[in-house]
Amino acid sequence: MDTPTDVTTLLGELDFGSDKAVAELVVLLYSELHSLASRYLRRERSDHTLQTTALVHEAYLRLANQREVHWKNKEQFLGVAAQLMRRILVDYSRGHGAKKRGKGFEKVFLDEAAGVSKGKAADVIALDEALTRLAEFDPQQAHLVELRFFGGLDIEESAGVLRVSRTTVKRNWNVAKAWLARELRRGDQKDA
Amino acid sequence: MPEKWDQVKELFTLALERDPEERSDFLRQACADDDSLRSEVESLLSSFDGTATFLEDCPAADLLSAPSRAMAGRRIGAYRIIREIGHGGMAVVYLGERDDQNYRKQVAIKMVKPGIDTEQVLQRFRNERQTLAALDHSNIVKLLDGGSSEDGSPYLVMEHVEGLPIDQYCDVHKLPIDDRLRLFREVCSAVQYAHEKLVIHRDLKPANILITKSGVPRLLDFGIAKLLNPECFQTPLVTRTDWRPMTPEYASPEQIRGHSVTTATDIYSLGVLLFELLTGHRPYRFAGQSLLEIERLVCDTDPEKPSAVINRKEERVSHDGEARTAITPESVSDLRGLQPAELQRRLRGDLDTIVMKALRKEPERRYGSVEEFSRDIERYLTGMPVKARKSTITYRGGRFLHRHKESLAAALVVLCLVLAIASWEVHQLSRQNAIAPEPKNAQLQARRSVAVLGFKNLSDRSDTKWVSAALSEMLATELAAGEKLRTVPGETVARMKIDLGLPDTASLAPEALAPVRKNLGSDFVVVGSYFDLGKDSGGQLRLDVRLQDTANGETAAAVSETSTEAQLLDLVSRVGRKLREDLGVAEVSQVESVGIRAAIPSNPVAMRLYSEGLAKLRTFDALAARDLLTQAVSSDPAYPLAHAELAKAWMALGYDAIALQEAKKALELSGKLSREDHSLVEAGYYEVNKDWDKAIEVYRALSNSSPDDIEYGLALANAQIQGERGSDALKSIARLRGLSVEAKEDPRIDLAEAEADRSLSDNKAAVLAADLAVRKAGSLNAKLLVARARVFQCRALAGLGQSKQATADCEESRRIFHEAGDLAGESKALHDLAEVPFNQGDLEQAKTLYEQALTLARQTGDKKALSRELGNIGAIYAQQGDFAAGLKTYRQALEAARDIDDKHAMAVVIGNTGDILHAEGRLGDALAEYKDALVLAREVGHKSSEAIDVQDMGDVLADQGDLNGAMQMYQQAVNIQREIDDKFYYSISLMSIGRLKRQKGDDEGARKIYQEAFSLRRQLGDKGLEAEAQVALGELDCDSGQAAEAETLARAAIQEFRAEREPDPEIQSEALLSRSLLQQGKLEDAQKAIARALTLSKKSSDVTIRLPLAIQNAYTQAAAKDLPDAERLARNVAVEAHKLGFARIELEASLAIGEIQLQGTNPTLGRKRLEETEKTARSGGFELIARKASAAQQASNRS
Repeated sequence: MDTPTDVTTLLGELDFGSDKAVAELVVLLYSELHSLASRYLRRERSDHTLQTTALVHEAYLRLANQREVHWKNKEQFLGVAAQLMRRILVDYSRGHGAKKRGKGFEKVFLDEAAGVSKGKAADVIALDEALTRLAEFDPQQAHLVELRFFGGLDIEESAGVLRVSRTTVKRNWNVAKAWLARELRRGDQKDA
Repeated sequence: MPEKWDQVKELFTLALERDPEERSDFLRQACADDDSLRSEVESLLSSFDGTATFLEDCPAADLLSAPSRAMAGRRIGAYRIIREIGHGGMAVVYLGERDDQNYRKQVAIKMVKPGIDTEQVLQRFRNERQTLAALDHSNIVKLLDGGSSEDGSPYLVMEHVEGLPIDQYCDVHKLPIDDRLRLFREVCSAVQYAHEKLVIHRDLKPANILITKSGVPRLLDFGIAKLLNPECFQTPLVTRTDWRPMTPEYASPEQIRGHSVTTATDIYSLGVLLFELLTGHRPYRFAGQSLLEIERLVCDTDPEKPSAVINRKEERVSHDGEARTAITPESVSDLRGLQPAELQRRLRGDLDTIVMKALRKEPERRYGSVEEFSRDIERYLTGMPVKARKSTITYRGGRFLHRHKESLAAALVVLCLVLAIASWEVHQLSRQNAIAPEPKNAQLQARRSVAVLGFKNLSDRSDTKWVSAALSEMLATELAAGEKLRTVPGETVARMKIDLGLPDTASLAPEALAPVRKNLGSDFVVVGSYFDLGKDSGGQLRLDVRLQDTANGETAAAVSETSTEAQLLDLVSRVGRKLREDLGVAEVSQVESVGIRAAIPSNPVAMRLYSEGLAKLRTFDALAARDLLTQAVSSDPAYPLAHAELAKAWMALGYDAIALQEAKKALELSGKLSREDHSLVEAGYYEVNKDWDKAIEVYRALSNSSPDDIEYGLALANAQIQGERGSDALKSIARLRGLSVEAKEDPRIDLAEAEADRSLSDNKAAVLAADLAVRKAGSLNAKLLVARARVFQCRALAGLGQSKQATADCEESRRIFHEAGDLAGESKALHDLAEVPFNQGDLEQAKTLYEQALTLARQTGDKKALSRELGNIGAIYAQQGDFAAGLKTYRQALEAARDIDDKHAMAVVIGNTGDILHAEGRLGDALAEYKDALVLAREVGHKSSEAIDVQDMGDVLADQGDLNGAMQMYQQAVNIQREIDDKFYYSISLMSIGRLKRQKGDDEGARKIYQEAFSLRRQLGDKGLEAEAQVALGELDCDSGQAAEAETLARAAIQEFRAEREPDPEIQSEALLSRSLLQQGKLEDAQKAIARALTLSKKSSDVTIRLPLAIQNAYTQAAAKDLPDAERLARNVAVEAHKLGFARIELEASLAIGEIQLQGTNPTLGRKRLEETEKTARSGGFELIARKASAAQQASNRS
């Protein structure tokens, strides 16, 4: 079922807003991204920095029939892929976070330099949960975070996927970051 | 949901756009007395502070890595860490200093990030250490120390370089162009040095090239450098072909695509660097581009030239996204101490060329080495002609003029010539472009290709030799599944192995791989060995497989597996899975594994037989292959590929009908095969069935879906050539040429073009194409291809009448085939070799060569070749007048053709047999043969043969006196020939019709027809046939008393036939000459002509030549007043003609007898005979003879 043509067909249908096509595409993509991600994380992580963008793009390259790529669909593809990356990485964090804690390591950090909450960490799972809460009242914001953080897209690309201007993306991004940073800090305080 | 979220968002955004100190005032005003709204916004604003990098710089997946720990103050070996100065994917670099009172030198300490120190990373780290340790160059950062920290993690200590990245350095110091070039050359010397030490840097960019205060460049970060050293093959230092760290702006197309990386990759990155140093711009702008778009840009579009790019206005955003710098023509020029126009002038020409050469998409087309690159810059700096341009002739002229202005006038002449040549080249190029519109697209889609070369048998048991072929086939199928990789067909691999004399081998040295890569165009090869562990192990087999990168010889993967012979499939699946994984190709899907299963025999016995048969087929032993494959088919009747290969074997033996049955079975059974395999089987069936249109369709589909696969393109072209669509074939060929760099060097493409040109009768183009093929194949050492190309060259040259060169080519070809053990090839070369003397009339030499070809055909068992060569030898006997030997040889040829049920060959041989019988005067037998031939020709739908047979029948009928029957036949023949536009035989039929009209007394009609035949033959360029038509016109002249004209024509024809060594028409011409001379009263000359004709005719026993000559002889004797002898001669002809049933000749003889009697021997009888002859002739429609008889009577009445 993971033949390239399938995906191309699905991408073609996407253009006409077929929900069924999206659903099938998601299934295809999920397995493809999952195997890619786990391969990177397991074996190749050590080689170099994993670039989420690269991952998503590679998935696209692998899936879409390169000869008949409908470029206009790429943005939609990236949107779906980012969503899937989130699911995969969260799954992965759930599986591995515990192990690491058990070994006495610190929690999986977002980034020490981020300065969100010094000394304390907010992990992917916390972010995921916060994002879910954000989506409840502002799905577009949540989607943006998904695209940028999990999908590795930049402002420009995100603007393309969301079909809004760059300025809007930047503004929303600032709000979302502020809101999420606050949410995560609150989570940390509860933890402590 | 937070209350009033939309308002919150809006106010947050507005507040953020204000200065921090204004924000609270703003919010107080905006929120009026809504305190909760205000506090919510303020809370978010305060939360926003400090989120500058939050979620920004860390890709999500990085979250999963272990955290780095504060290291400042920690001691590593003899060093103390001061602070972090950088980090990459696997390592962190700290600034450190030696904890030593006297010696406070600062160093850079590189450590593996904690938590990811897996064996693989450590290996890489050791690699870098090893790399750096091997490098000792003033422009490369020095390794000072290395070791393991207390917790066991390894570290490297390097000298700490303080300096600016090269681009910044140049701009800060406003270096002029020449200084930038000199600095760049120093960088080149460091990279060249590394290359000499077999190290590729792979990440050259300004940040890794620091210039110290004293202006010395230092190359840093060999973190992802690659060792080319073959010794490292043993370590698991595997080059991944998937994504790897790189800086896209400086990455070469091959890096972006994940292809193999060579020294040319560094040359490309240096090219980008030079581009930037010269122009202030980068070749491509990636701002806001996705990686996919980057790939498209880098791999598929040409950058602007440096001299053009400086006109670009650009805003460069710094890494933190805050600072913006405007780059304008003025700013870049200023930084180089020039005006924009001056900078443009400096860059235009040499510097453009040098940079663009380094930036070529195809690694092979860049500079051959960094040194070469650097030296070209030196040449520029010293005003010498740069090498990057040596291919364009005009340039050299330009440079020449520049340096020798005083001798301008003389040089101008040279320049004009040069321009003429150059514009011709441009014309050639544009012509090619017009045919191949989208070569670049094709290149974009190129998949990586793998060739399975075979496996070395390490056990001393030779009975397991077949395993290599079996494993190769199965593994290739496994790798081809899903069409993610392009696999080179086993046949092509086999040919290459013979060409290069490559044995099955466990691994190949880089120097041995280079020719393999060139020959097959494959990125990877699979080699290895197997070892039979013997009976004690239960028939276990151990297989060691190695995947080697053909670009550099690196082992990309190595797998060892053990299995029993019976479970080879499982073994291959396991190996295949691992190789696919290492090549980054998805696992075989369920559907695909069905295809793989279907491509493999169901039982081990069939597998062994099939593999052995295949090996035999590929080493030119079709007989053995047929036997083995027949057994394979009976062992596993449902296995489609055995049927398909068996069809090929039968084809090679000439048994087209049986081959067709097998090919059909293969097609019927091929339902479960993969798409590609199925298509190949289908196309194979159409090929055997000579259904070229369908074969073209299938190959076109294959070639469209896999445009990167040259094999399909070649197969398509071949089918088009066979299907007589030569111009379509040329289009396919042009597309193939644009496919890739490798394709440009692939002699098979030129070979196909030669064949297509030949099929379009364009011998000149064919010679050129074949010559290219010979040269390309020669440089690849591909002997068999050279041999094939030489055969085409030979044919084309022979077609151009250049027999000497043609012979040389064929002889060379024959020699190569002989050495390669390709008897079938040798036999074909001999056949073509024989054609040359045959067409020149050197029948003895031709026969000798045909006989040699025949001997080889007997050895290979190719019955079609056997029948063909026997047929040729028979034809030579027939031409030489040795009818008995001719008939005997034709009988053998017929037998061979009948064995393989080759009806077309049978029709030809039977028709030719008819010709001999006709010449022997056996008219009835000849007619029967022609009829048989006609039936067969009609059955196989061979129109040309059909027409010839019908026309031959007409000739017999005409000889028998059935002029109306003959005319009907001729009409039929002509209709067919017009339909199929067969000009050659049409002109022959015209001659027959002309002769008939002449006999019927229609002089004017005959003349018109002869003239049509004559001008047609002139068009065809066949001098002999032209002369034949002239002789016929001469006969008409004689009939109407224009003897002088006839004499001229006859004399010219004699010259021609003598040169062509064609005795029969020469005899006829001499007879005509004699007749025309007699009419002019030149008896003596007429006698001489007859004497020459009689001498020639001693070698010919063709009744249709001999008898008319005897009649002319009788007339000559009569003119010499030897009347009794003349009468005797004429009587003999009459008797023989009557006996054989040649009604016309009998009438002509009777006419002669009557005329001679009338002259004196017996005038009364003569008059009576003439009366009777006139009557008989007229009633039979022989108006010419009747008229002559009547004229003779009237003449005697008058006298």
